[in-house]
Amino acid sequence: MVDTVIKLTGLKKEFVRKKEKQLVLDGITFSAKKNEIIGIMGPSGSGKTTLLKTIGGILPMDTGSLEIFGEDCTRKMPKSIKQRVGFVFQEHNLMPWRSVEENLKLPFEMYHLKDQKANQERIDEALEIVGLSDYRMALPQELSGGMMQRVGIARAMVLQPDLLLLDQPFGALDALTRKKLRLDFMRFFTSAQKTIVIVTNSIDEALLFSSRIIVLSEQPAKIERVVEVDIPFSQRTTEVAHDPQYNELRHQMIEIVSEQYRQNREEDCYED
Amino acid sequence: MKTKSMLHANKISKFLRNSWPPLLMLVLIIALWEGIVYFFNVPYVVIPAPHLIVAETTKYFKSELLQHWLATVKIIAIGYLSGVPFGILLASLISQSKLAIRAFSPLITVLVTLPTMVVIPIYMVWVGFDINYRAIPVFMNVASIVTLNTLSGFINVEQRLLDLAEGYGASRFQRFFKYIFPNALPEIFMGLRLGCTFSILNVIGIEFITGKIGMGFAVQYFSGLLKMPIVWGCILIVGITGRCMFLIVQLLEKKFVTWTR
Repeated sequence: MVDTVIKLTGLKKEFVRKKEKQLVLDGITFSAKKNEIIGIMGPSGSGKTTLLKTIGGILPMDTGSLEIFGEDCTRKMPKSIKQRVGFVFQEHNLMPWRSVEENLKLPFEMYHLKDQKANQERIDEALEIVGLSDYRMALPQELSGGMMQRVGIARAMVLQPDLLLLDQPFGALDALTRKKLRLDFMRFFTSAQKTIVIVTNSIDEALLFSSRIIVLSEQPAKIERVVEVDIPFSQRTTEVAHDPQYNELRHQMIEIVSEQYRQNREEDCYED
Repeated sequence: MKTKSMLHANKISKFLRNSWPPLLMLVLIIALWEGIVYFFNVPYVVIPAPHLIVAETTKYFKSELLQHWLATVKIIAIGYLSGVPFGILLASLISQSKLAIRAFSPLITVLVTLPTMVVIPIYMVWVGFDINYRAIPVFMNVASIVTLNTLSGFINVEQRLLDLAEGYGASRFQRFFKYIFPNALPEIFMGLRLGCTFSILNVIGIEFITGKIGMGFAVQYFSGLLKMPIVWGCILIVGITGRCMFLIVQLLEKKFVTWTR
């Protein structure tokens, strides 16, 4: 039994923008154990999404190596591995020509899983979890932003993946919806017995979900800090805001983030 | 049964509610037209009154106009119905290779922008005067406009969709049929709508130039005889034909494209 789900070593990634090479990720190394929840934070444009897409096998890597479930995925991630990875995109990324239910059928079609009855059961279950059982025939564009995002999460879960990658899942939503969804999914994610990597730009979200937070630096991004969050998941409820340990971590995180912000500002000043 | 008939009645009342503004407009225009012709005593050769157009057109419809109209519709149908699938197929094939896209794009644009009228003499040298060959330029024009639009739909696929496909390790086949093709449907329908306009324009143009049948010929023939009300009637028939074609495409579009880009 392999206990390490993700093993990423020395990931470097370059983009070519306007004929200029731009180093986005500069040597990222980390690993995730089974059932660990890892939060990834960093300034905007630091390559958080790029990092997550590389782990999900969507983007190729320039240098470095990647192992998922103990299998080498450096050059190309095999389809059998991709099948065990669920990806939630930043902005739901649903197909507007498919109804909610048909959107959830997509993963089964992609892997040629043809057991209609079993598939339907999984779809029903996923819709139940995200609370959208009454909207299976609706088209995505008929739903609100929060509902679309929940469909996106349901789609990532229908194949019951062992590894769930979430790219700012609640980022595009308004503050209230965001708060509500966060609490809705907190309980589910932490009890689902899955390895989860969640990219977020909210300190509260990172603290609420993760057992470990990786903070990236400005571009070209390196791992700047790793913060262990050793608050038991049972205590992470609406009441967590009054927990002294939580508040201490929160202060620590705010300091890290504002330190990054200050550095940026100083650099900007020098450039002038 | 009762509910069904009530539903039917509901549909009719909804139709009336939605379409009374254009209907009212039509009635007003016709009334104004009749009035002006009557009061100013406009000669019917210059502007015939609507009632005269309808009367003359219906009188000649069965004996003369019907065969012209059928000939025109036949050519449109052959050209359009073969041009559309060919255009979509061609765009699908070209889109598979970046090199092919670069090689073919300028050529397709030229074919779209080139007025068919100027190439018709060449066609005639090649294939002769048989009226069925009129479908060839129509086919060429419809196929090129559909190819152009479909190809642009295939090329401009959003990165997020390709990312989604890549996350599942989609095969080339899956990526095209499950992501790229449905995503391009709005553009494909844009091509189909333009194809309607193009095909009518072409057929009428060709009929003007050559042959002794078709609505284009009828317009020339009856204006030569100074039977202007029939000429106006011919124009009306061509307009209605185009509108019906457009309507069919729109209905299909409404069924398949339920989103906006």
